[in-house]
Amino acid sequence: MPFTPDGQRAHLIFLIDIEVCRRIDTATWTIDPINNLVWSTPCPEGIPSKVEANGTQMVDEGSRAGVQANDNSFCYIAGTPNLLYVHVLGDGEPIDEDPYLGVFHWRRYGTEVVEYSGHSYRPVLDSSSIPNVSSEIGGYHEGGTSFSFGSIKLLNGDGHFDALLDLYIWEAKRIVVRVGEKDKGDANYEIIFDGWTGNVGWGDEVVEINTEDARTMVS
Amino acid sequence: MKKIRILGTNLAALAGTIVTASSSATDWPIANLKTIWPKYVHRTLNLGTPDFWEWDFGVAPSINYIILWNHNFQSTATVKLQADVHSGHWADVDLPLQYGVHWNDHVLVYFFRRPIANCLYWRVTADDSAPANPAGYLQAGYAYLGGFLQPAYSFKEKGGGVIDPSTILLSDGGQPSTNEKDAYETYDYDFSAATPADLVTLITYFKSLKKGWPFFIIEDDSYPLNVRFVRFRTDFNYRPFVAGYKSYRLEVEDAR
Repeated sequence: MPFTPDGQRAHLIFLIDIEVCRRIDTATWTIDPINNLVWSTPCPEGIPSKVEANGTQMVDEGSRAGVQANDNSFCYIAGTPNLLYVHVLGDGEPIDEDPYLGVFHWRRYGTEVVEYSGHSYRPVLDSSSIPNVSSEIGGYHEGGTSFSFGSIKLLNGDGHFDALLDLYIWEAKRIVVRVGEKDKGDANYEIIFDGWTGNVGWGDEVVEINTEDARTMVS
Repeated sequence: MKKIRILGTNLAALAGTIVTASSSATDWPIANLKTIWPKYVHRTLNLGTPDFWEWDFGVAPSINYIILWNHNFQSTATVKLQADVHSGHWADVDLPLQYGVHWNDHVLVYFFRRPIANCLYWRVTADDSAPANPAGYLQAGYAYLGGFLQPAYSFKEKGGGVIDPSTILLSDGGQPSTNEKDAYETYDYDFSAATPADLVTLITYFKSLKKGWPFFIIEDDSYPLNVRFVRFRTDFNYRPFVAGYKSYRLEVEDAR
């Protein structure tokens, strides 16, 4: 069922997905005993959404043998612990900044406890902070309008984000905002913003995340 | 006469209590069984034969009540409770507790009139595989294991209400445009008297739970399923009654 509120009564739910990054080139690496070009490091977050080397997405080869055979590749193998295997350009051990390596995964928050697309959303998104979407005319060289979504707030009274903001990179990462009605199924949710996170403000009780248009140059 | 019970000290939620399960789905970890959000559930990865939740208390607790809130067991499931003084001996447990369970479609309650105080390890098992639970997994939102307070004097009156936190905007003509939220209930229990000892326990509960942490109330000890999962809605106040006894009011609301 598509998102079709009748304009008189609805039970709206907002969801945000943020693809945060953890820098891993400074992590501890272990060479694979069989594949001499493959190095591993723990990946407790689970299956990554992507892995990047110097800003370029690495290829998921699915196996250590595949990683051994291909530069700029990775694979993830669940276990105790979960491990991420990489083969970087130049065939050596990943070391600090050579190359920059980042492992990404999605973190999900909603205005209430929600299951969407098989994922659980933590109920800490402040619905009163959901801003209006506005569009503005950009400069001639930008090629059209750009969208602004202001900032969203995540409740942090319990300090849940304190360690997470330290561990992961939240700025300049993809953010997707959806709206839907309760109990109307996954197809009911529609994307209302798909762009970048901007600056992050971090208070005792609230984390405020600004947003940027998807065409904004971020680095 | 109704005798209220207040389950204010959850040993299963203590930081030192280790909780494990037969399996856990990625987005529904076992840690959810301790969160204050009962809808934020733990889920098994798939249906086991059986599935289980297991608690290691470190030191032997005193257990009268075991409650699983917001489960999804079918009425055809086989549910058992086990307790043991040793770890990992579930096939030959010291205390196979396969009786005394009360449950409906969202809450499961075990009650022991005399507390069991020598078992460090507790386990709830549920086999919901025949017929298979259509969800394809088992879930539980919150678990309580611990004792209870039954005040010497139960409540004399009970009030309550239903709160609708929906946002309603009115046109000039008074027609509403509504962004609905889930309605929830409040409960107010008036107590004529509390003994000095009961008052000390109630104050200890409130100072521990405060207004954020949920707890269970069983309004009538004759009906174990007459259980509410609530949190304090207001500060705890009491007034002089007679000879060291106090009158007081418990104002709570559904934990959500």
